[in-house]
Amino acid sequence: MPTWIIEPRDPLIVRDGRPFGPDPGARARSLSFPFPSTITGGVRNRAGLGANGMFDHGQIDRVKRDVSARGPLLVELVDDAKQMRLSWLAPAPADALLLSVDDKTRAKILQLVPIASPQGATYGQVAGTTLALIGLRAHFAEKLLPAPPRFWHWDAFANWLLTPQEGERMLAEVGLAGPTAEIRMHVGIDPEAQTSFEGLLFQTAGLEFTGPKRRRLALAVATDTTFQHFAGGLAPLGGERRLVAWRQIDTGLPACPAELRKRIVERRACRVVLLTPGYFTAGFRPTWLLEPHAGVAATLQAALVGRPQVVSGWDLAAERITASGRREFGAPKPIRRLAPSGSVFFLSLPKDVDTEAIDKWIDCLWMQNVSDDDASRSEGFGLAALGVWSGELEPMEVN
Amino acid sequence: MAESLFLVTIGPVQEFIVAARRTRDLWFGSWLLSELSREASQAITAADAGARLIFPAPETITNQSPELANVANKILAAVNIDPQLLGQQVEAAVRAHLAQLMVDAFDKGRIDWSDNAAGRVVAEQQVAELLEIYWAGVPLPPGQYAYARRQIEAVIAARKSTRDFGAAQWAAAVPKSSIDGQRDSVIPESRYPSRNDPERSLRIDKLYQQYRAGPAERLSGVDLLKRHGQPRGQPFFPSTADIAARPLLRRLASQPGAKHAWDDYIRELERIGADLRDEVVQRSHPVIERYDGGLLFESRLGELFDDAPRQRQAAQALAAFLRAVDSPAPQPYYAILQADGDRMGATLDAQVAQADHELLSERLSTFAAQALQIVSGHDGALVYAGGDDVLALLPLDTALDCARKLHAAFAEAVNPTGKQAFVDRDRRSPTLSAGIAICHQIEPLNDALRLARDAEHKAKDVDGKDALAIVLSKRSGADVLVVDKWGQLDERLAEYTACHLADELPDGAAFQLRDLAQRLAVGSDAARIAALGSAAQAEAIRILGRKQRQRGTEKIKDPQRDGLVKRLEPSIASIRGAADELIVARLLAEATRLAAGKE
Repeated sequence: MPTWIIEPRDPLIVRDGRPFGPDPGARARSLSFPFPSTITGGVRNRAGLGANGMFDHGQIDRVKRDVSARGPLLVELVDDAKQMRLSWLAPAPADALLLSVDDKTRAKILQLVPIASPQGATYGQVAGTTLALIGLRAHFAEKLLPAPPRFWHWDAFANWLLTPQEGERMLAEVGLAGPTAEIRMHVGIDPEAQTSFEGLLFQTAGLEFTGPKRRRLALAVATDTTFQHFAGGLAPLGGERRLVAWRQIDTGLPACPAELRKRIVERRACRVVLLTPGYFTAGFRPTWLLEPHAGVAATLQAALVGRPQVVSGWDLAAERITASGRREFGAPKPIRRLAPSGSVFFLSLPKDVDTEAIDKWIDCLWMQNVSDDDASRSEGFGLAALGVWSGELEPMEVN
Repeated sequence: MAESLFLVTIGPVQEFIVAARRTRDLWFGSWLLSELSREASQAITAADAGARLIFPAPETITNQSPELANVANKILAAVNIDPQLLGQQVEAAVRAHLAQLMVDAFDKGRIDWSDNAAGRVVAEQQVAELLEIYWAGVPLPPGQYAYARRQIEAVIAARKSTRDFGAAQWAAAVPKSSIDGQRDSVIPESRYPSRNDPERSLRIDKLYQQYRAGPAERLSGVDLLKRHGQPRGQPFFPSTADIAARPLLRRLASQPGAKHAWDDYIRELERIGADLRDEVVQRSHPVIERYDGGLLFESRLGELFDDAPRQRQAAQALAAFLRAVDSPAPQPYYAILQADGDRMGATLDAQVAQADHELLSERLSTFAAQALQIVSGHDGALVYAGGDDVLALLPLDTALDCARKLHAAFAEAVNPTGKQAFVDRDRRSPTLSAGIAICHQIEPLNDALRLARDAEHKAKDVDGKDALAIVLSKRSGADVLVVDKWGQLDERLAEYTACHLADELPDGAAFQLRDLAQRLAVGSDAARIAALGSAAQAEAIRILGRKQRQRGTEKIKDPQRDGLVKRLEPSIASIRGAADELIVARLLAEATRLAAGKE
């Protein structure tokens, strides 16, 4: 399965749902990271190119049906003398809480885990569920780190999946902030007078992928299709037709470590960490993920999910008739609320299924999209990684 | 029933408040959260007559005006009934109150839903799912208050780990809210005029009259609630333009002949066809009476007319008015102040007894009441003052002094002289750190609020805190940030402002110093940049010494620039810092000068 590296040449603009028109003072704000649907849209566009290099509108149904993607994940690119290398990054897992310490280059990391409700405590439970609380094992006095790394280096992330260790770490070893906001002011220019038009002033906020010390960040997306008429190179992506460089690499998405499989099989429990935002028909709670896969149906014990992200977009294929009876294409897409990337679901697996079945169950989920509907899975929403969990609720200690 | 500690939180807070394009959105959002928290507090005491409110203090709920947003979104009480039952009752009461406020906004205002029933249904759904209410209860054995409080904080934090949102049932293929992009617009697209619509002006006017929406604004049900909500007391909340115009308004108030000139100006605007019905606000000024200060800005006049010729005529009328009152155009900048107590959590943690926590709440309540007086006394508008948080809009000439007074009032309110002192375990008293964003009046409000919050964070980054940060965001060039401890930065700014007012620091000095620092800091060779520090210092002193005051007729005398010169260290960063502070002070001085009529 090919993996494509998408390296923005200019700041990338991936807008939120706010309308952006030719009105004075209008601003196009970029999201802090592209949604999978944007990148998959780019992939499908490449897949639908004709021999003339133009998108073939007759291909819309085919590419929507046949082209799916996993990602995007953030990667860092390092060119050495022979070839380009890349190192993977993952969105910060929500079950890692970073606290400030005196040394600003370091942070103390604590793990949020499913906990037993303290004796005599009551609280407003999630309606219709018996989901466990998720908290810290013990009270802490430190302040939260104001700006923790939004993306973790894959080594740190993989260690967190396998053996989440609490304690102090160097922030640089944990991860980085990711793409940064870059703001530009634009004016409309009168070509005759070479002066600006009155009122035609607008601002765009894009994502800068080239960071300090020439750090090169890019997006990686795995797709199950090859492009008949596109071998790579510069092409526009996102708002304002900003340019990105596409290039195909042989490296696949990271594989599931053997030790991790072993531990999940032993414990009959695991964490599912979302690497891209997930769409679930019930909102924060997954459904498809809990259905039997390889004959194994997991049970949701606890869900560590922040406030929803909202995705909409523009449907180029939607047809509508205007008030004047004219036929036009394009309409806003309905919004979907998403569980943010980094969300963690704590699952228990049946005790009575055999090792082989659990092994296959892991294969069904590791680096696969676990959203509830086919379209969202095909677009890349809900890319999952698995991590260890004891399966037991831990006591909450308050000193 | 044994005593329990009960905690309820109501959100969302930050995202909800910042989602604002107009000051009404901001103010009503703050008021709404405060009102719902007030309702939660009252629901607790209504359900359990023996309940003791710990935070906020009972007098916050009972004594202060309900039109003031002063109840924090976190309510803590000691109760004698089953917390499970109480939690359900409180949640039901808060949701019912929101539903009533929504009905008031949607049915008693101007919105005509008669041919938009579907929009009304969606708007109701959006408002109904707005709130995030979390509550918890834990046993409160005698003498175990501190333990119980830590326990309940841990339980509520653990519950908040799961944000249980549902799918958006109303989602449709329609444009989304211009304010937050999170919800569908409930205004039918057919209400919006096209670019070439011959009745464009009429339709724009109708859109505003009916929905209070601009021609490019799409609004959700939650947005409409903010625009049309009907708070108790119907207080007036000024626009950003009105706040920016206040230095000039204060000057006009005592200026003979200004009223006559203003009447001429209004007559001329009406003669050329301006509809000024929506430019009227609920306050009275001796000269401009009930008109919004935005009429003093040419950029705002554009909103009154669709066509360029009339916009030009209006601009000429404004220029004639300013000539008649012998005033320059008002500065288009205003300040947003956001302040928050330092070490409050640690101070609360250090209180072992419930009675101590109650006393601290009472003192914070006193501070909130004082904050209203202080902000009003500085011609500002208080958005919110509850607990240790303050959010206010201020004119430039009073912003610094207002922040200083708030800082002093907080210290005195929390630890009044001669009374029980509240400190954390390291014996440190809480202090108030503040961020001030100075923004253009047409800057989108949510961006300005974000700047104010960032400034507050910068103040909070200062070691030991007790700090002030000011960010100046001009429409040209990069933002200017100055930050330091209270007693340092505010003193220097006051001193530099006084120097500017006395014409002892000519305009160019600040920019020459900044230019010097920028030119010398080029490159990445840290050793070379450090080595240039002494030269930069000498050059800066030469620039300050060379500059002349009194419009270029007299050299600056040494004693008057000594304070500034002495602070210049042999480093480029020091010179850059001084330049930035002078740039901020210059703007404050211009506003002060305008208000005093001495420009």
